[in-house]
Amino acid sequence: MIGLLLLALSCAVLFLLPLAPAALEWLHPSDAAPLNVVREYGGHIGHFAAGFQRFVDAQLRPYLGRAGTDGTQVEAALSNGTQVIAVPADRAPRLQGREADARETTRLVLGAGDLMLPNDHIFSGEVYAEGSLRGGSGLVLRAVLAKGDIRLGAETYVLRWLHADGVAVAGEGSRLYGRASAGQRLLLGPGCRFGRMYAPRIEFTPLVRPAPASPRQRLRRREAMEAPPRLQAGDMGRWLVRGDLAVAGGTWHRGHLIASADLLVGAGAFVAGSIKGNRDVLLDSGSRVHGSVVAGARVVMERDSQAMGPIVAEDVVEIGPGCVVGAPGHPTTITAPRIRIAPGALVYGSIWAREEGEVLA
Amino acid sequence: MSPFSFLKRPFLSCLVAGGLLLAAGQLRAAEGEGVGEAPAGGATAEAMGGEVPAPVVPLDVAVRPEPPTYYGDAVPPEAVLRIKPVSEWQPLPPDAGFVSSRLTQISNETAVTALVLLFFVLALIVVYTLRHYYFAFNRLFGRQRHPYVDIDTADWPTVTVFIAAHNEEAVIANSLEALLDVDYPPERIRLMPVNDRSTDRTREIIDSYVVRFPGRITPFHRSGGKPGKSAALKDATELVESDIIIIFDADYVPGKGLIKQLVAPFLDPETGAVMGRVVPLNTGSNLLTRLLDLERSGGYQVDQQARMNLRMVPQYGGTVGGVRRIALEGIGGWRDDALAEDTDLTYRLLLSGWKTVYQNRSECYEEVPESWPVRVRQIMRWAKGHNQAALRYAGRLLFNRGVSFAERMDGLLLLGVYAMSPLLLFGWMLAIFLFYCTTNQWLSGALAMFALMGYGALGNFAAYFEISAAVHLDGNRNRIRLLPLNLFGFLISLLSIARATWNQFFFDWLLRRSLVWDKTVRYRQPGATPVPVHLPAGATPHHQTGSVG
Repeated sequence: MIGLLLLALSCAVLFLLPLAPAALEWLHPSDAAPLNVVREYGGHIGHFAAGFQRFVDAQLRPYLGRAGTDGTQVEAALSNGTQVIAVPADRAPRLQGREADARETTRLVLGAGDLMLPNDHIFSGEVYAEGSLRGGSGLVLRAVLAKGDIRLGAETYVLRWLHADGVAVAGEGSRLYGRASAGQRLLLGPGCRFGRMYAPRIEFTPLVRPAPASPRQRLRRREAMEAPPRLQAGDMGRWLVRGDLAVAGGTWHRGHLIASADLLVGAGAFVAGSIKGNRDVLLDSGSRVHGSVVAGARVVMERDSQAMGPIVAEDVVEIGPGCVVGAPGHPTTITAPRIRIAPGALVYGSIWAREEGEVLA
Repeated sequence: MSPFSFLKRPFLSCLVAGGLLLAAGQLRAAEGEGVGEAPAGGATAEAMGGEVPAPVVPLDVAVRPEPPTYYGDAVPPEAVLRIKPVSEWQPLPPDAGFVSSRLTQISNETAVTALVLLFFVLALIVVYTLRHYYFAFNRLFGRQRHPYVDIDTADWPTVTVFIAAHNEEAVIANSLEALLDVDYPPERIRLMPVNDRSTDRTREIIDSYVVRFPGRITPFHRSGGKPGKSAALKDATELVESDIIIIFDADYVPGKGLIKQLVAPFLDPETGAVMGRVVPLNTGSNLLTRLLDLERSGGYQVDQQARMNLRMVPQYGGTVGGVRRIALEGIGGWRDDALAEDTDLTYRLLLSGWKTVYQNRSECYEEVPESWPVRVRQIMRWAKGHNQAALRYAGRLLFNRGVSFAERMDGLLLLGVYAMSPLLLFGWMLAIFLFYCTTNQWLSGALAMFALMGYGALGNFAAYFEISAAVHLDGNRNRIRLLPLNLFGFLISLLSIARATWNQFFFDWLLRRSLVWDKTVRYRQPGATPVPVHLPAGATPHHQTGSVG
């Protein structure tokens, strides 16, 4: 009997013990707030630049004004201890003492007009130029904002973000970690690495002129693509195919194409719609797609191919020389964990490489 | 750490308790063996009042040969797990054989049949358990798929936003204001409150916004017709010409970027529907809302996202989501006879070659039930709708060659989710029945324990692994302490679902009763403070908050 009672008691304890923390949390809630949903944060690429611009306007204007009117470098500290250097127009900041020796400053650098940055320096604070900014090679910058253009020399590192209201140029072998945006154009040299970028026009220099179509090609009338075998659905303006799908070179198709495996758009073919391959998608040279290009693995755009809509790949996007993505007035997005782009490609809109973006050397 | 800290984990506790009970069972069995040392025929002697002395059995006979089993000499006693064809079953001799009955009313055939059924239920529990593990581990350690979340620049398609409203005077203004403020090209978005036979001030409030924001809101006031959200959406869809339809319930408060996030997957030509994540707003109201918060976390943060990762069947949820108009037209539009129009739509799209995409980062607040009767009604409605969809689409899904194997299996398991509750209840009854009515305690007792544990830790709704993983992924900490109390929530869900299924099969269908759509109660009062804007600490840089100055 005692044994049974002990058993019942131990069972009751074992049952109730796990409930003790629960009962405490129920009676005295310590974590009952709703999950944080960020409702106001739009994720716009200019978010940080806009925030920094507001900060400059609110707190740093007096220093910029003084440097502009006096024509001398102004050095000051904000109430929280942040050090500021305001540089007159068309000058470079003058670093002294240990900063000059180490070629490094943690101070915010403000240019009252155009701003020059010397070679091989580290600027750990934000850099702001009321006009344009011209940087030498080998710079390391935390964040850069310019009301005019930004021209950075070779092997420059931008650690957080960069924004130019005009044109932004990153020299050969530069690294643009974080966000890079420009109001007009963004130019990247060979060997650059990037994360997220936006500009109405992004050029991977040197630009390559698309190969001119021969008169015979121009005059040739394209034939409509034939319905593929293994067609699973052919309604509502889309062809859904089990297995691989190939659009023969030189043909056209109006509507969306979806393949459960690989999808190939042959050389010179034209698709007036979007395409998706659940594995790889290849746009052969000179082909054109007027909608989105979506792949479960890789998207490869061969030389001189074009896509108007977004390019989405879950593994890699490779873009060859002479390729064009988007169009003036129709900006779009390229997104994938890894993006490799050859010099000579042209993109209108956004590029977002979640792991690594690279301009081929 | 306390030496008993492992007991905070319900699964381990169940194991320990199960071990103790089994030990007790074995002890009892050992005692039983002691009693059973009485020679054969003792039971008869006992029944006769002990007047007949027990016959003396020679030693060699007592030990060898073994007594014949009920299965006969053809089957050796150690092989009695093999079940003979029904035609060969024989009447049960008392207290003999494999799962012999303690009660003379229960034949051995009955016991074996019950055991087979119990094995079947347990097999299903194991399948769902493995599924929960698979999803939770995938979310914790697998590769995560968010292929469309970074699309921020595009030629955005035209969108109509439905705001499903039925007597929503408390919340409709909040929802409209949030939608008027979203980041989407204004010429490409149209708001359409679908006011379904409201009898309160909903119409008046909507019309006041139409006047204040001319050209941005096209109201659809519905005063008659078939009741229910599906029927209302069906009527409203006839007025729509946009490429995409996004749907919110009137108590949802979308953030600025939400519409773009929900529309971006439609740039993939294979996407037929999109689902965002629903986040409970009134979590702190009472225990029920806190438990539902945990359950929702598990459902969205782990279950839905894992399906997305594994290219299975994320489910369109009817709100904070959207559908491509031509896909909707292609599958015949909304079904106004569907009690769960969301599940119905998911499967019709899947069978027609369209994918449903889940966007875990497209979050939106909603209210969850604050009282148990409301919760019970809600889950009973879901259960009936889901069962309806299961009967309609399970067969077609099983034999559809256009759907991948992973999608087929996941789709079938998803359809069976609500059927598991009555099955589990049945399994529980079987386990108890076998426990008390058979003598093969080592097996049936263990099975009974496993069945009970299946309820508590491994069963359909007791997706503790998923909930724990979800809370971890969400970065919350202390709320996980409430996890054991979810057992009670699950138990109520289990009984509610079983009741709904019973009603559905034995009353609604047999008696041809029409299925009734039941709207969930809202808790915000008219004029209540709008939903606050939350910015997590550290989400913005120092110069955003002006802290530098």
